[in-house]
Formats: sequence, C-alpha cells, structure tokens
Amino acid sequence: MSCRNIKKRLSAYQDRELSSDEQARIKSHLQGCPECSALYADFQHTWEMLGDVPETHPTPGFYLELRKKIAGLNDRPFFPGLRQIFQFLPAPLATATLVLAGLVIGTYAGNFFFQESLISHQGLQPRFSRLDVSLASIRTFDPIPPGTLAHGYVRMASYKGSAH
Amino acid sequence: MNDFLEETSSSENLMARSGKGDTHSFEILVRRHQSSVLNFIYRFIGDRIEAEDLAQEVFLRVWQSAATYKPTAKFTTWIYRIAANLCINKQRSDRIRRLFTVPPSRKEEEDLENELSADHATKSPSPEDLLLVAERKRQILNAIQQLPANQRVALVLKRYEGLSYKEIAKIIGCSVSAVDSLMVRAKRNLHGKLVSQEKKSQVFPR
Repeated sequence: MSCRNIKKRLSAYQDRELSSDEQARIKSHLQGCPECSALYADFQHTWEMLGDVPETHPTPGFYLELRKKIAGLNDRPFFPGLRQIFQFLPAPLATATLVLAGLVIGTYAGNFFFQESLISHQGLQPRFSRLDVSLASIRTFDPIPPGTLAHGYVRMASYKGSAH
Repeated sequence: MNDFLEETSSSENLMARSGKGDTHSFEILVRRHQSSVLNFIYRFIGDRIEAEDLAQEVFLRVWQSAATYKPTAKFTTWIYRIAANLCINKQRSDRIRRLFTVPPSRKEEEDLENELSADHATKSPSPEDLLLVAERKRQILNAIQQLPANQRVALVLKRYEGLSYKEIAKIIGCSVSAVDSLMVRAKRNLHGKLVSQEKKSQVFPR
C-alpha cells in the first residue's frame, strides 16, 4: 500500500472503521514510515484536543417550553409567509391608490381649467399665442402642432443620428 | 410498571405511540434524546442559547411528523438528520444576516468566555488557569465552526456522538467512502487551524 492510499485511510484507521486485516496492514506501515506516522500523530493530537469542548445540558424547563411551542402550533397560520406579505401590503397599495387618484383628478382639473381660460380670454375662436399653443399641445393624444416646443422635443427624441 | 415499560421501550415504539397523541411517550422520547441533540447542535453552531432553541425546533418537527413516521431507519439517524439540516439552514441564514449587521461586541465574546470557564470553575481554582482553559475551549469551538458544514457534521457526530461512518453516511446522505474522505479533510483542516491559533496566541499573548 502506498503512502497516498494510507493517508486516505488514516482517519478510518484511527476511528477503527476498517477490517482487522486492513487495520493490521496500516499499523505495520506506520511503524516504518515517519511521514505517515507524523500525520497520524497530528490526527491523534487533534482528536484529544476536541475532548476539551465542554458538554452542555438542557435547561430544566426544556420540555415545558417545548410543550408550549407545541400548544402554539395551532395558532400558526397555514402559510406563515403570507402574513408577512400582507403585513407590508397596505402601505404600497395606499400610496399607489393616492398617486393614481392624483393623476386622474389632476388631468381632469387641468383640462377643465386650461380650456376655460383660453375661451374666456380670447372668445369662441381663440387665436393662440406661441406659449398657448405649446401648452395646448400637452393635451394627451392630440397631434403636436409643428413649430411648438413640444414638437421640438419630440423631434429630438426621435432623432437617431446620422446613418452609418 | 407501565412507566417502566415505557422507559425501556425503543424510541421507534415511543414515536409510534406519540403519533397517536400519547404525550407521555413523547415526553420520554424527548428526555431520552434532548441532551445528545442539544450537544450536537451546540458543537455545530457554538452558541448555547441558540442551540437550545434549535433543539426545541427539532423536537417540534419530530412531534409534527410523529403521525406519519415510518421506522425505515434508526430513530437516532432520523433525528440527527433533522438536526443537521436545521443547523445547515441556520448557518446559511446567519451568513446572509451577518452581511447586514455589525460584528459581535467584545461584551458578547466575554460572555462566551464566562460561559466556557464556568464549566471548569470547580476544577481549577486559579483565575489564570481558568482563563487559559476557557481560551483553549473557545479556540477549539471556533476552529470546529470554521470547518465546512458537511465536515463539521461528520466530525461532531463521530467525535462526540460516537456514530459509525455508516450511520453518518445515512445522516448526511452520501456513501461511506465519502464520509471517510470528509473525516480526513476535517481532521487535517482542524489540525491546521488549531496549530495556527496556537502560534497566534504565542505571538500575541493575551
């Protein structure tokens, strides 16, 4: 048996996990091989040191505490994760509702007041100034009048640069 | 007489009776295995209070599974498998939590030292000896916890619970030869860590 194989089996040898033949073979190898026997000595030393780790004991109320937890098992929700999700759900839901309501009210109010002011200042067929036309073009879904600031932005946004 | 029969019953029998709602059998089962389960977890995670919490979680799962339990393997193999899985999961969640929290304070380290030295308080009267012993135990516990999870499970089950490689293989879910190589690596790693810790404490005596 080579040293490489002996080293692989050294832990099993130390833990008496091998057959008696194999135990004897490794034992005789260790007697003539300083390298393997040094590794075995390291294993032995480590094993002894592990004995210093203290043992701990359950507290006297261990079983009673466990009984309480068992009694509380019925109070656990069927899907415990769902409670956590619902716990944090109201805040984003309320925020989203408020933002949506703000957008809808703002759009209606904006449209209403903007048209009112145009008509009241300039009659039934208003002649729009440059600024008025720019503001009017913000109305959603209306075509953007050419020559306005909004038209300029749209052109800039759709500009793809020079062709290769 | 009835109590005597229950005390001498196998864990598998007690488990079968627990499955039918017999809390007395379950109590005997818990008292029989609580110490070994607690010590396995304590040596794995290195914290006594957390170990007790986890040990209770193990028995909680045992109770929950009692009705459907089939004794295909030894009861101890089964319960250690639950404990090992819980320990590994705990280690993973702790690693994630540690990313978002501050490291333990000196006070917590002192608490651990006090806890460890309390064990030997009656045996070694000198305060210097107590400190040295506590320091040594802390180093060994730390070294064990630095091992990869599977090596740690194998090492603790062999060294402290005295299980065979075959039983450990069933608990971890691998072959006996895999346990063999896990043990070799665990012993080599542990030796290396302990030697380097020894050197550090000689260079920087406390």
